[in-house]
Amino acid sequence: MLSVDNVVIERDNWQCRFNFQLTAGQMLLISGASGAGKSTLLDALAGFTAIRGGEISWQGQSLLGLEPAQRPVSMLFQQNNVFEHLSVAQNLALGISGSRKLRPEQQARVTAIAERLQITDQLNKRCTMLSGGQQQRVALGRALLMQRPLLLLDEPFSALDKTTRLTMQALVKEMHDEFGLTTLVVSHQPEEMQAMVDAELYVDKGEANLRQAP
Amino acid sequence: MAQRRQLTLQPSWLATAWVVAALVLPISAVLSMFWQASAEPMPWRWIGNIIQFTLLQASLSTLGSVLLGIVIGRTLARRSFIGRNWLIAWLDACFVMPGLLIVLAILLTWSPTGAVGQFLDWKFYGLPAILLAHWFFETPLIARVVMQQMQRIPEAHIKQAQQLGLTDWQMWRLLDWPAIRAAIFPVAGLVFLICMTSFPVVVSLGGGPGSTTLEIAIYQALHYEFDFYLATWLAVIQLAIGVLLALLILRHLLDSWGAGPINVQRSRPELTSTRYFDGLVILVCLAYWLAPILGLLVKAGWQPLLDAMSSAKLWQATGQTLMIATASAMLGVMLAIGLQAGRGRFAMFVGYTVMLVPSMMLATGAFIILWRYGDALWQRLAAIALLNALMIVPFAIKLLRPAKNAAQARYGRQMTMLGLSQWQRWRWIYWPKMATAIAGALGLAFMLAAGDLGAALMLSSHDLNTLPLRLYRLIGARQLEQALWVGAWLVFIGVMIQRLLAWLARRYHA
Repeated sequence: MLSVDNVVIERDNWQCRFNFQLTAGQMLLISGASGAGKSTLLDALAGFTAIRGGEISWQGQSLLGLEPAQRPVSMLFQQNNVFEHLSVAQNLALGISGSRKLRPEQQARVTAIAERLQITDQLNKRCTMLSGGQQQRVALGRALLMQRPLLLLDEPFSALDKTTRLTMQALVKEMHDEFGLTTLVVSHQPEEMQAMVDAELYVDKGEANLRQAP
Repeated sequence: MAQRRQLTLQPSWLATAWVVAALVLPISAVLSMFWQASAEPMPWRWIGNIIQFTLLQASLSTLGSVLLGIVIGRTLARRSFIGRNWLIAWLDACFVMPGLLIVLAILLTWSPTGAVGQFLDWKFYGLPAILLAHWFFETPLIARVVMQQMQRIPEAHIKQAQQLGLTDWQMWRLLDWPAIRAAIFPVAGLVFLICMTSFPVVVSLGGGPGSTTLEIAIYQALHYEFDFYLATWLAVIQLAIGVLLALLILRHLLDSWGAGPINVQRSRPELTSTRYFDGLVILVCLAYWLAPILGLLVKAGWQPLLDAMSSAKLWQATGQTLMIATASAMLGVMLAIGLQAGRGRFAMFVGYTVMLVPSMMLATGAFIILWRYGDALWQRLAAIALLNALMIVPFAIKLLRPAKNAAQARYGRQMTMLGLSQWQRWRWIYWPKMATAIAGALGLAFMLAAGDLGAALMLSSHDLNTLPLRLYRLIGARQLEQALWVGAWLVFIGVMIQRLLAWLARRYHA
């Protein structure tokens, strides 16, 4: 279970307060107006933003004090999710090893993920050659290869056209179910995702209100 | 975790240790002589005159460069004309051109036998010649900063001023000066520092004891009088003045200028009232900055070229210059990269501290060390390369930082999320993203080191023979036409190396 207990985050002139629990394997939609604090919450869970008070824990273990790379979290951002100057295969390999030297079984995992995400024929291409949707598939693939149970999505598909965005959202749902992930997804089009999530966290001016999906 | 942190900090601490050692060793050598020197009676009146002349020529050089730079920068920022971008590129080139080539251009234009000087009845050598050379050198830097600052004026403000019917003077007071003011004082401070320590210009154009600066006095004390005590005193005085000045402006020093294209402010009305004035400014620019070089090319004959190229000394000088410049550029850029590798502000502070220490102070220290512990040719070459590498570090940091910061801003969170080590970050992200910037920094560093005269002259011996030294000796022997070809050869090598590095960077990205 992901536990966010009375977490307080200081922003410029105001505070965000979060208090909710999410059962492992669930998918949570985070919605709210721009600047309400949605991305701030994900940054705090991933370890990019310090919190002023409260506790964040996963399966009973506190995440506070852990570096982003040590947390059981992988996150996709609004943009710049892949290293454009590297090839798809190189980007995926970084999800397993910083040295990019993979053992045969690790290489097999990369191949399997690439097949699953339908990017096998792109493996040797530089990411600059890919469309926005394909780049996000690579980013998603790398996040899955990191084998971390919590997947945070901070509007990574917002710049895509509607058809591609819906396809990617469906793909995320498939991966979420297939890999048993606990997923938190921020979206500015909550109506597109409400049918596939287990709960919705509505954030308004730094205050969060958890609603179970109907 | 602790082990990983230790590895992370290694490159920056290694570079820091290098830079600190390279600074501390020569300074310690100078200071060790200083304590012995304190008992000796010093010619304070003479030293006072030298300080006075040093500050006077630096002040007048700075004042002239700032006034000319503002007028020229403002004109180039607002006027569109054929060849504008070429003129700006040429002005930029003047700032990085080897000092002795500028000296040569000034000599062939303004000296009593020069193209313009022959019609003037004036005392050329001394303060006038020094000022003409410094304005040639430093005005382009001020003009670039003025243009950059004017580009930051919001277009809406210019349009509003246009609607209000403001005159050119009113636009200067309300828009241009407030934009320029923030950057002009730090860069004027930088120009003052450069002019205060400008060795090649003063040594070639000073013309006598009345035009002696601290740097020249140090050089003469060591080379002609072999007076360590006097040289040490002078070096300490110069260090004190340099540190005082640099401390006042260091914080802004390297943020005040940068490379990149300068666009015309198309939204700005080209006022009819300023058309003739702007035209005159552009003509002055062409005459002052372009004509001497064209004059050089016209004056250059084939026989001096053959004489220069058939001289064994030229090829010896080329070999030694290539060795020094290659080693300096590589070491300087590696140190700059190393200093930026860690997160420590101390490492960056050390990199910028190099600017506080006058190069002549370091050269004096190197001279003392070589005098004590051996002065084989290879030791002199190594010392010159090391001194030049140190001088390059702040400029290399300045050139590399934007690319590093851009890569960090774009991929910082991804790299952190993936847990990449510092080495992995450099290997996979920074290096590919910074290859062009690194090639540019190496090219500029090569040019600066290849054109250095100060350290080479200070540590010169009968068998030390670099291209700037060769140039200096030819100018001293008034063999100006041969000197011209040696200068052209030096620039050719520098430009070719820059082109080669740019080509390698493009190939890397292809």
